[in-house]
Amino acid sequence: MKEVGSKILVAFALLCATQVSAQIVTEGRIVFERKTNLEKKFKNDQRVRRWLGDNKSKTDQFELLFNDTISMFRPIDSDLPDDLQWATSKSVVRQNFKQDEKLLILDVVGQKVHVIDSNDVRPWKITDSKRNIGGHLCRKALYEKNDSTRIYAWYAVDVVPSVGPEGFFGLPGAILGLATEDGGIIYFAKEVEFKKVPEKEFEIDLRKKDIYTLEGLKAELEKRFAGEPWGERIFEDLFRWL
Amino acid sequence: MLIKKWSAFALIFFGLSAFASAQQDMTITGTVYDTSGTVPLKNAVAQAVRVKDSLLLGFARTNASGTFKLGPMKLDTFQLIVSHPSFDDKFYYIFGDPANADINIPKIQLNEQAQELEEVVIYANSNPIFYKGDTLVYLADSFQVAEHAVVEDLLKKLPGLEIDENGQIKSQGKDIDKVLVDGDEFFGSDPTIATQNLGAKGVEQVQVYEKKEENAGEGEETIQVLDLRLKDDAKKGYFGRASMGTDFVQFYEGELLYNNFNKDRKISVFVLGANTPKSNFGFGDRNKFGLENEGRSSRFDGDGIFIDFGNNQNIGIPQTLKSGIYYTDKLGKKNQHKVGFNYSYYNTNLDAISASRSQYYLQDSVFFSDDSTRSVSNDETHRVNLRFESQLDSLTSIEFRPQFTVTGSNTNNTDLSYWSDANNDLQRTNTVTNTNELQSTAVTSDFKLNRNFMKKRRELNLRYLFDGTDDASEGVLTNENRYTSPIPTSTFDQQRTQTRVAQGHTASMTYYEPLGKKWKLQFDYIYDYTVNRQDRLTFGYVDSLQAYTARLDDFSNEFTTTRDQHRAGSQIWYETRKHTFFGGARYRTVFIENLDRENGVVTPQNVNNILPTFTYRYNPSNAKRMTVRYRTNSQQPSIADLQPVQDNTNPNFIRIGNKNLLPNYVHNVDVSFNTYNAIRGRYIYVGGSGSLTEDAFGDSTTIGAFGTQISQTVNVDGNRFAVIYAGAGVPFWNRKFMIRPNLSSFISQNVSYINGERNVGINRNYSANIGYAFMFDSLEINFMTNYVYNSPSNTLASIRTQNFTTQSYFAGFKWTIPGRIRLEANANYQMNGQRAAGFGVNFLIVNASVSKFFMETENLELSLLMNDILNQNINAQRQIQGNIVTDNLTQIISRYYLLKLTYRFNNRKAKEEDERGWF
Repeated sequence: MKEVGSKILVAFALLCATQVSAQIVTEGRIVFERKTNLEKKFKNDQRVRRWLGDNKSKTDQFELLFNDTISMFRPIDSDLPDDLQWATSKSVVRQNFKQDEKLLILDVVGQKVHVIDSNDVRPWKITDSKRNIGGHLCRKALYEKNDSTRIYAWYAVDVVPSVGPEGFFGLPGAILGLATEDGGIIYFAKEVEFKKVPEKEFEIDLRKKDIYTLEGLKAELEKRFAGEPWGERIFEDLFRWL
Repeated sequence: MLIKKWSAFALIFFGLSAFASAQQDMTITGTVYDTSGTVPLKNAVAQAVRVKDSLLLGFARTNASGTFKLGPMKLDTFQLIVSHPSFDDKFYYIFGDPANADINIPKIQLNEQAQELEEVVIYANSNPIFYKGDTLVYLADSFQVAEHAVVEDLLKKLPGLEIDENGQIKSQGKDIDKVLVDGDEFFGSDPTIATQNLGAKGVEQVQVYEKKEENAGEGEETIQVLDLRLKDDAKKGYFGRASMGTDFVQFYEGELLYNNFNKDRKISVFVLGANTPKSNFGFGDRNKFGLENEGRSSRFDGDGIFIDFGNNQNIGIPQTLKSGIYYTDKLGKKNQHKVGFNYSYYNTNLDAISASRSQYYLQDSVFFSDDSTRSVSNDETHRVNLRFESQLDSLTSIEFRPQFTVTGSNTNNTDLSYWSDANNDLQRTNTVTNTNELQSTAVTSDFKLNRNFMKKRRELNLRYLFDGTDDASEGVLTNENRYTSPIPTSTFDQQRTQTRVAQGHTASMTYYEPLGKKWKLQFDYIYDYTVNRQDRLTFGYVDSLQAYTARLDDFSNEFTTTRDQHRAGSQIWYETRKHTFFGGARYRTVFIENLDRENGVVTPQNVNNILPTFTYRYNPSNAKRMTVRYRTNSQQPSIADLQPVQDNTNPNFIRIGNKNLLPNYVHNVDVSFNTYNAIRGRYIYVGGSGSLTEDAFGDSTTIGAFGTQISQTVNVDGNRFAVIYAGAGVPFWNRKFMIRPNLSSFISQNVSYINGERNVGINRNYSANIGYAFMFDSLEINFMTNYVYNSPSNTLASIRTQNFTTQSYFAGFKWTIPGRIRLEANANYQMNGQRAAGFGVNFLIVNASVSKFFMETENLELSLLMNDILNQNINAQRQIQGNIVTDNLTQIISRYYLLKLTYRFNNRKAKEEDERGWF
């Protein structure tokens, strides 16, 4: 009985294997869900925690459009009311890997700020931990941003372009999961779709916009938020993934 | 969890002459095939992972013929992982060597995906280790550890658990993915933070179980966790602040705030004693210590809650003692019940001495009064609040909040006034003394039920509010008038008792029904029933009996007002991310019955209103907001305004009730806009509002000889109010300098009757102020100038009012200097223009303080506070009420110095900071 079972399993695995290999993705759209643990995010701010009431977490939706040279990560804005809109901020990240250019649209307390810089090459450490995300087997990698901050990424080798949420890339496959070490903020792919993305989806109108470099913006905001009670948190929020 | 495991691997040695030149590069090529070894695989990945630290050195994809080329890359020792989604990974170990820098693996044959079953070893210990369901439980106390051992030392003693040098834990040979504390990632997911810092003695149980990964997408991922269940006393803690200040002569100020928490149980204790203007805790303290009922009161009128922050009025010389205890806890298996209790005791004394000059304008004459008043009062209050909240099920919650208050107060007023005619010739000297003792008991009880439904956004709220008060007061009033004309001196001596018993019941229901995702309907209904009974009895002193026995009918009355209200309405809501609109109307019908029990006469009233309302809010982003709102509401007259009896508490200004007084009806419009640019640090706000009151409460005053007035509240039409305002904050020079201009203007129109003639008093007020701030790292300097221009006018030609101004100038700095010293000083100069002679005072108030912080945590602060160094503080106000213009000066606390020691503390022995308030 057991033998028969395992034979069926093997046959099934082979069947799946042929299907999966037919589904290797080189361009398309990934829908991400971001879950922010608000209790953790505001753990040092009693006042904000009182505003949160019983809301322990917040979910935001994003999409990542990509092909082999360009990727666009952006929020999917719903038209429905969102009482907790203030509790998280959403960025747009467009990466052009051929030109080594990254364009960010950051939300600084309701104001859109444009930044153009080069793509960061992050040193990744590879682990042997694996999990399934959205039907794709992913391996876990780890990025040590600094002594106290580690970021986890799960990448799928069957989604070929080296892309990911919030401008994270550089792994042998697309990043389908991204999380801070304490699990306070996590992105997970809900849907991976193979499709041709029209070029116009990657266009961003930059006319009449002030463009910062990353260092320039950091310097500006450091000056701006020095001594402000909420400054540190806003700063941390903006540059967490940068 | 970094790569250690190699289930299927091949070790390939390319030469052993190991000393590699660091500069030399290497490349790896290979061809990947499926299980059969004949079909080349496209899009397989070859990943080079350095052995010593698991760093990803590079990766490459295979082309259509299954080959990849990795590199050139620096010589290193690494693991080569070849992956394809349909097959098992294959591992190689590559030792880079200059002798053979170009490596080719001609045939990489991937194996079928196999499910590995981990072998699980179960220990058969009986007692301190057991299985509870699927959870393996270790009882920590059964394993001996050293006195100051950390959790890691404990874990090493537990059979079946292993810990390697890096702190990685394995249970039964399987990696622990996460370490939780009481089921929560309390310390982040780095397990060593918990295991190497938490004391082993605080752990009650160590549990190992499989848990669904919280971060999982739809995949059913499980992880193995180690859950440290702490003993209850490990979650204990406390924080607080104690301070004491004195000038060693007269003034003192002391406070203690202490909060002790144990899991969800929180207890706060507070004491505040002062004879300085400090009579309340700041907003930040009230929040931090959970003193939710201190220093503010709230009231529910069916349209919303009004909150009164009860700030110190800054008039007179106070003496304050406040003390109390707050307790909150969560009960039940899922902490679904919240309970709270607090008791507060207040004892406040106030001694206020003030002087005023009033100008009274009549049709054909004008006269003046000069008053000197001293008011001494003592209030003592005990208050108990209880609170119970419970989540009955996932959709239903209830809340029950009763409150009991007992107040005793006594006041003692003495007023001496000189009354003069238009030529400033003295006509009358009046002396009034007034004592009053009040005992009051109040009970409120608020019950709420909130029910959600399976259909999202459908919601039902039910509420019942009971309000009961029982007041009794007794006082003696004496009055003496001496005249310059040959009228004999007149005096009286009266005793007054007043009892008031009021009860109110309010039941309300609000229901929301969603119509699609953006629309919803709101239905609400309120039933309100109140009975208010007030008996006021006044007796004259009879010399022959040496007692207050002669009932004075003009000043005595027994009266009951009963009100019965139904209000029902509906509103439609439209809500999107950027736009919110809601609007609708309510219909209400009010039956009022005013019963004069003196003569049995009933005055029935029936008032019906339609109360429309709408609100539109536009939020284009978090930094911009616009609101337009129109509301209507209606206020009931107070029983003092209704009861048909004379109140001669101030014999020069007698009030008489009007049992025919109707509720008023107010239209209100608000418009506001604000925007904030976070990068530039610039903000702008602008807005305005207006109101129009129908059946407003206005005064009808009859002025008798020598200025004695009798006044009654009547319904008047034509009361209006409008205000506009605008302001901004604009930074310059890298935000080291900031300008904050602000302009506002209001116009108010109030109708009154003077000796039967209608008067419309109009006051126009214009104010401009501008603030400047310089901000450097350790120094902050602020300046502010403020100019207010008042232009009152009246339709009765006889009332001559002058325009008047108030100007104020402020300068201050805060400076932190080395040696942990903070200096603060400020000066405020106020000029009062065009006032009555002697009341146009200008004064300069200078305050300063110096603080020195001690201890590594800076938790100990010694400061010297200097209040009003020039000893000039005075409270100066001008009031305009109908035909009376009054300038007032009140003595308030002026110069004093305090040497103050403040100690902030907590159980963590860390820096304890005050929470900053918003106001």
